[in-house]
Amino acid sequence: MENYPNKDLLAMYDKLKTARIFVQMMEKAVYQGMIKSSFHTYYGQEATNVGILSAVRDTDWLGYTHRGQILLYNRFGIEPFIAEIFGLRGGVARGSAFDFHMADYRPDGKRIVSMPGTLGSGSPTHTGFAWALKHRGEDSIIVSPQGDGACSEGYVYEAWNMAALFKLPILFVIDNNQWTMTVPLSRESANPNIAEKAGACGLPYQIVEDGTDLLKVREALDIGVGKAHKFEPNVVEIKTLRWGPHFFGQPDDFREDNALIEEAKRDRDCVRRYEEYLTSKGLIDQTYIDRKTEEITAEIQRCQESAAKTGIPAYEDLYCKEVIYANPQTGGDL
Amino acid sequence: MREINTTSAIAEAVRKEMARDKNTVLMGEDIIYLNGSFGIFKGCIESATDRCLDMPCSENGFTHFANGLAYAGMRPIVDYNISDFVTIALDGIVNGAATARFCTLGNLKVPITYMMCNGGFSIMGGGGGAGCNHSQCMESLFLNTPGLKVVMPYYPSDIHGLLRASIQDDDPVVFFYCSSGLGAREKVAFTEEDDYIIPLNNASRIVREGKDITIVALQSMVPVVVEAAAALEKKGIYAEVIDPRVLIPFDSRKVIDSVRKTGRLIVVHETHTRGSFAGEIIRKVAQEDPAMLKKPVKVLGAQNTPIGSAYYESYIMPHAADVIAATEEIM
Repeated sequence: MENYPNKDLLAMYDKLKTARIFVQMMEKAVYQGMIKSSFHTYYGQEATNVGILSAVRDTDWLGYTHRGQILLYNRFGIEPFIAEIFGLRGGVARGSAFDFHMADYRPDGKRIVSMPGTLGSGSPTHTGFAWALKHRGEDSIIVSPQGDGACSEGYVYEAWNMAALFKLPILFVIDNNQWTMTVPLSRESANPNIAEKAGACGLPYQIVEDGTDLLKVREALDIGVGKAHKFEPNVVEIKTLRWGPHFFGQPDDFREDNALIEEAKRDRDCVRRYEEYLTSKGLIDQTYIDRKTEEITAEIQRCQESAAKTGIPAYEDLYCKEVIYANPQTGGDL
Repeated sequence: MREINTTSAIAEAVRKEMARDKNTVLMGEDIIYLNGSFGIFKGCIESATDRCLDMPCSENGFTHFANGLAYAGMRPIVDYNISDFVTIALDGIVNGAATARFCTLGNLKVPITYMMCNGGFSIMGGGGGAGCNHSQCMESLFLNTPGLKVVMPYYPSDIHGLLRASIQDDDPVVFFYCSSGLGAREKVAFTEEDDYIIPLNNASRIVREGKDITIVALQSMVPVVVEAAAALEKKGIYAEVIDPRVLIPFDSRKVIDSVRKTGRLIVVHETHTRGSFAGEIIRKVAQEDPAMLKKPVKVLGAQNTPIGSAYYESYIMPHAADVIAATEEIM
């Protein structure tokens, strides 16, 4: 196992614990009617995105999926992120982009690349973005996450092929949580190892069988990020389990693996496992955990209240020709 | 004066734009060896080999790929060969490029030009009639998506000038040239050194002036209607022929002013009549003042059936004789 400095290990804990508390608080916010659309749960699979955040350089670009809230609030800040998903004026895009269309393409900005709301379309988009990074000789890569369900989309294969053909600085991460909305992986993909399909397109891959072990996830992603920086496009598949429904509020009586979820919560909770690891190293104790929990909860609560004060946006905040067209004089009538 | 044709007009425009802006990327299938399936990019490749991409047969994927290029600051020109094939790529255009700027509150440019050959009649070298998936007109697919601009000229000089403006535009533009116009030739005054650029706004062009009837012709129907107008003149009927050239933004003013003068309107296009741009033209006229119209409007287009191969194609398309007959009916 890699020997990460204690400072790094504790920073990862901070991100992981925040991710868990955040999803729990957003679940409450959904049921309080504060989130105007939906919140796709990442409950149980926090290690994937915390791993990505820890493995990339600050100058690397991030794509994301509808379950990528951890990546977004870490780059944009918790308060603007919450304001955005609450549909409020203080949001990243004044409450218009919600959580699958947030982006910041400025080189000196947050380096977040959006995707259309169609499942899987991020993969080819990010691949094109990577071509431009290489063409310009920039020293940065893009990480392109995708879920297991999205990997059934044809253009994800097209993206893998194009990335391999053009030798692009891109790392594809497959967050394999075993469920496509209401369909289990066994009925979604004949091959349970999705990365093998990417391998058939010419991409080297790693599969992390236990995606609840944050350090194993981190190590695989470190290797993947390193290769991408050397123009070796590659894939890291992280096997995990979605504990919740597709989004909060959706009935979850379709789940046929409730025993497995209970077992995972008991024995393979990425947060508890990491806490046990850090405790065994003498880096944290229960008092530390309790204090962190309190601090993080208070901070998210503060962000939530502060976001709410920014208010409901007006028609004019969004619907003007300049927002839709870069050359509005040739945009036609609205 | 020099003679240009449709393919040389396109090649010259793309070549000049690729030289003007080093972020311009030309991509599609068969770009490098064939210069695009109709040879429309001749001379573009040699001057910018690192910005010309032969893409795998993945229209869906490479359309999103082009979005990624644009988000990173490039200016892609994406070729689909014929417009029937763009159906595979609609997601990247409609859900991707058209909305990307909007999602950033206007902090992003998406300067992509989508190029495709529209319609049937005479696929170059094939003699025409290539059937239900090679002869369709696809402009109607893009009229209902805010965020896109749609350009469809006929004459080589218009293709050249509007293509340059389309590539320079900082928003996604769907640019159609047409199959039956691939062999069109034209004498032009501008030289190869001139920057001949036609703005996308106020683009409607009065091709032929007249006082008795307004006939709006789209793309491949422009020469058909011009032929009909010449025949009508011999019968003492003076038709005003208008080629909109650009559908979004549509310059409706010239059409409205013409109808106010003539009191009669026929729209002629190659695509199927149901759900076509004719509805938009008539809406603009009706909203202005329906009392301008002395007679009911007419729309001539392909009948609402799939397009048969070979001889079957011409049976369902409008011809000059149809335009003459329709005109005489409402005179």
